[in-house]
Amino acid sequence: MQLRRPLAAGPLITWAVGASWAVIVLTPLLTGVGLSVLRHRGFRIVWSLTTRNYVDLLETGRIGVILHTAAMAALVSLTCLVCGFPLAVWLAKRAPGWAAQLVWMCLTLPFFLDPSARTLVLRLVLGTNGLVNGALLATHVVVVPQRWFLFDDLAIWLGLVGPYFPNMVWPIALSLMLIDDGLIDASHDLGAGQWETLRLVLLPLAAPGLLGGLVMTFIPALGDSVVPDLLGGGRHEYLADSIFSLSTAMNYAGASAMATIVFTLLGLSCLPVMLLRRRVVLRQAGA
Amino acid sequence: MTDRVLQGVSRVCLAGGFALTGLIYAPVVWLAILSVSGDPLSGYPGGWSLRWYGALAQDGSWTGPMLRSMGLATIVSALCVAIALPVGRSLPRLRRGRSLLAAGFLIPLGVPGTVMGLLLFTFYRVVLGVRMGNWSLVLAHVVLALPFALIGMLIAVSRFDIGLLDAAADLGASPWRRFLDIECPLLMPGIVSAALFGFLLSFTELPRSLFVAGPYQTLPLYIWAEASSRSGHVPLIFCLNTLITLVSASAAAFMVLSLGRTGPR
Repeated sequence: MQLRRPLAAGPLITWAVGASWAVIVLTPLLTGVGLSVLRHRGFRIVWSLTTRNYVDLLETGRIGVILHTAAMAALVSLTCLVCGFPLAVWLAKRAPGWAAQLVWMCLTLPFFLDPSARTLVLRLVLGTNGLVNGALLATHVVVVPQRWFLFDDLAIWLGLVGPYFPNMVWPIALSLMLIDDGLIDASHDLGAGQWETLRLVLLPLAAPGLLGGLVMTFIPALGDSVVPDLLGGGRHEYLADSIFSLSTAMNYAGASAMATIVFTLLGLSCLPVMLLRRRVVLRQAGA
Repeated sequence: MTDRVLQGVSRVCLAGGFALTGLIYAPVVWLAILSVSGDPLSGYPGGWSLRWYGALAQDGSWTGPMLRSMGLATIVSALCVAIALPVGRSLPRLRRGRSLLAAGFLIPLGVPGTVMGLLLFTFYRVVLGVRMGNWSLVLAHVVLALPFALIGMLIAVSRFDIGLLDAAADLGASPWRRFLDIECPLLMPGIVSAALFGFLLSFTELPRSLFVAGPYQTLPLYIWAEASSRSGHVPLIFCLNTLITLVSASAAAFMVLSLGRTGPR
């Protein structure tokens, strides 16, 4: 046992770091939930319980903001999933080495890109004087410049889908790379078609990657502050706008209440995933 | 029959995947083209000139945020390695509490950026009354980057054969020698990815910084403020971003290529 622990302090350090992490990072998360049921004036907290903050959110329609943002983030994740899975399969299993490396690099680079720069250009391209309208006018598809490309949900969707696409492909491709090619060959040899191989081999084994990809696309898309700011025209308010305006108004309890609702919704959306996982596990155990 | 349909569908989706990858790059390339145009704000290229680059060199307002962001990214990158390495290598070998600890470290992945920024701000500024500053930027960026760094490290650790350490011990290597000569080189992909993620995510982080930057400005904050306000300044942003993208593209290319050579592919 002594030999298995090269630096005997390892577990101790891990627990110490974990404890500090809990104090420094996880406490603020819990405090937010607590603050949402307190009153406060500016930086002064009044220690009395209230549901006022939640009632305010309902009355000012900010619940709708959360739901609309969640729907958009879900749509973005779904788009990324549908296009990302085949790309990940191609990257992990089919692509020749150089092509895989090229695409892999193309998918790494966006992490370096500044969030507002790439969005800013979309604003120029989609605007009434922009490239898209110019092309449509020149080819006589439309007669007057179209305003609805920009400052609406379409622009937001376009703005979010690109930047978060690598977040979907990365984890899926990684989990696919770990699948032994022999399993896929065996599945074919045993007479399974591509559909059966996909359903019975690739999807179950890539499930952690799929889940990771969904989380890594949905969560940042939900909290994105740049795209709604630069491409949304204020017809629909998004979560980041809402939280930021509450915070600017020094209504921290209200903003915390919003955060708490986001947590609750995220927690609830984890339930079907967990149930699904149990079913898959049970079925695999039964089979 | 189903296979035929599946093949068709997956071809269409794969094409969509390439299209989305293109959608990431089209704006960036367009930005670079516009940055050497006479009137970038018209949205059309033409009238080629480098005068906006000249104006950028004249304008010194971006150097402060740039230096601050680079400093922050370096510190965050170092912290990510310093935390992810000891935690990642001993987490899978813990006898109990593994999933609890892992879940605790990975929780920030499930918190949207703006929400995390808000909650860090309310806890430290409103509840505890501490002023925001460099320390809060570092904290917020580490909270963002550490889960990614840790995942990379855990993947590297999972490929590490622990028997090697026993063998080294049998041959008389001291614990430090075992760590430095065997674990560190073999965990290098994990260490590099932790450093990389720390640097990259910090350098481009915006939603959390919005809340915790206090009196300071990071480069993404500067660019965002310029992009949404003074339109006369916007062409400078085009040039600045083209330059940053060029530098980081070559850095990314270099790292992917060098990792690809030593990595497991």
